[in-house]
Amino acid sequence: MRLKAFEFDISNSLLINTETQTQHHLTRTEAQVLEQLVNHPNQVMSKGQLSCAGSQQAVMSESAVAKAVFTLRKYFGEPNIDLIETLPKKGYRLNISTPSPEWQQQLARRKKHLVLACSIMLLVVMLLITAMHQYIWFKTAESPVRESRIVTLNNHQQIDLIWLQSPKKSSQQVSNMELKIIAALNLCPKVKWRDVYLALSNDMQVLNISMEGYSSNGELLVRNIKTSDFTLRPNFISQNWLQEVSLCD
Amino acid sequence: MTKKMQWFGAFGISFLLCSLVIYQHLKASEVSIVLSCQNELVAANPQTQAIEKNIMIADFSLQKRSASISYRYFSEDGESIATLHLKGGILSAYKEKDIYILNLTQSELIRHNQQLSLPQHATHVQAFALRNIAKEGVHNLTIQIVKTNSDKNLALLYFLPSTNICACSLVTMN
Repeated sequence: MRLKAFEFDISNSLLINTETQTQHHLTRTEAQVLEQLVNHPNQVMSKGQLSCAGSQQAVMSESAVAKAVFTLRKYFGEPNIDLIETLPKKGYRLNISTPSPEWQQQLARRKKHLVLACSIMLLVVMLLITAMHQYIWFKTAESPVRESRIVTLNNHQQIDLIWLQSPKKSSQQVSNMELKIIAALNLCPKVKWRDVYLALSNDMQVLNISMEGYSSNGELLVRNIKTSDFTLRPNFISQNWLQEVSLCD
Repeated sequence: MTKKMQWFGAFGISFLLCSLVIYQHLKASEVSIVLSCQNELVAANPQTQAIEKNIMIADFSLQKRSASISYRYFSEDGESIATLHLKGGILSAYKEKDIYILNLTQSELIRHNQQLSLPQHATHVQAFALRNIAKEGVHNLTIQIVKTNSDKNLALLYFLPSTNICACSLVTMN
C-alpha cells in the first residue's frame, strides 16, 4: 500500500521509505492501527474504532492507539507529520492527498510499460500458436502421387497408371514392372480397370497394386494385390505370377 | 472507447483464441471412420518358387480417440488362418487433409488353424509391429486417404512409413 513516499507492507508489518530505502518493522499494535487508517483513507477514525482493529471488541487500549500513532508519525518524519491528522475529540484521519504530478507521470509510464509488455506477450503467444499450428492451418497435404500417365492398350482402352511415393527403385526396374503389367493387360480381351495404382513398400519387398474400374452394369470394382518377395533382389512379377493373378478380372 | 473497454476487448480476443485452440485440439483427434480392405496376397514360395495365394481382410476402426486394426488372413479356399490385432490410440487427426496418425501399443496374433502356414505378409507385419513396440513402446502408423469416392463408399489409403496402398470400402464416416 502506497502512502506518499512510503510503502506499507501489511503482510510483513513493514513501513518502507522508498526515498531513503529505510525500513521500519512495526509492532502488532502499530501495524493494526495503520492498517485501519489505510483501509479508511481520509476518514475520521475514533480511538475506539482503531482500538478494535476491525473486530467487534477492543484488542488494545486507547492509550496504546495514541502511542502507536505517535511512533508512526516519528517513522513518517517531519515532512510527513501531517500524514496522520489529529482531530480533537474525534480521532485520527489518514491524509492521502492526490499523488504529485511526478508520481502520476511515473505511474502513467509504468502503465504504458505494462500495456506494452502485455501486448508483446500476447503477440508472442499468438505467433507461437500460429507456428505450432502452421501445419494444420496453412500447409496443404502433400499428395503421395509421384507420377501418373495414361496408357493406351492394344484394344484402344485407356488406363491411368499411377505410381505413389515409395523408395526410389531404378527407372529400369520400374519400367520393367510397368511393361510386364501393361503386357499382361494387353492380353485381356477387355479390361475393366481404369485406374491402376502402384506402390512399393518402404523396404522394397512388397509391391502393391490397387485397381479400380467399373463392370459392364456400372458397378464399381476394386482389386488389391500385394505381392511380397523377401529375397535380396525381389522379382515381383514373373510369368507364373501373372498366370496365377490374372489381371484381366 | 475507454481503456477499460480496450482491456476487456483484448482479454476477450485472447480468451476466444485460446478457447478455439483448446477446442480444436480436443475435437481434432476425435474421428469416426471404419474401413475394410480386401487384399490378395500373392507370393512365390522361397523354397519351391510355387505361387501361394491368400486373402487378407484389413479392418481399420478409428473411433473417437482409439484405433484398432485387424488383419484377418484366409486361405484361397476361404479358411481362416490367423488374425493379427493391433490396438492403440489416435495421436493426431488432420481431418481436412485426411491424415490420421496412429499410436499402436498392443499387438496380438491369434492362429485359427495351425495346419495352415502363416502368410509371409502376416509374419512381416507382426515382426515389424512387435519390434517397434518392444523398442519404442509404440508402433506408429500414418494413414492418408488419397482419394475418396463417397458415392461408392470407396477410399484409397496410403500408409506411412510402410508406403503401402490399399483401396478400401468406407463403412462409416462422420
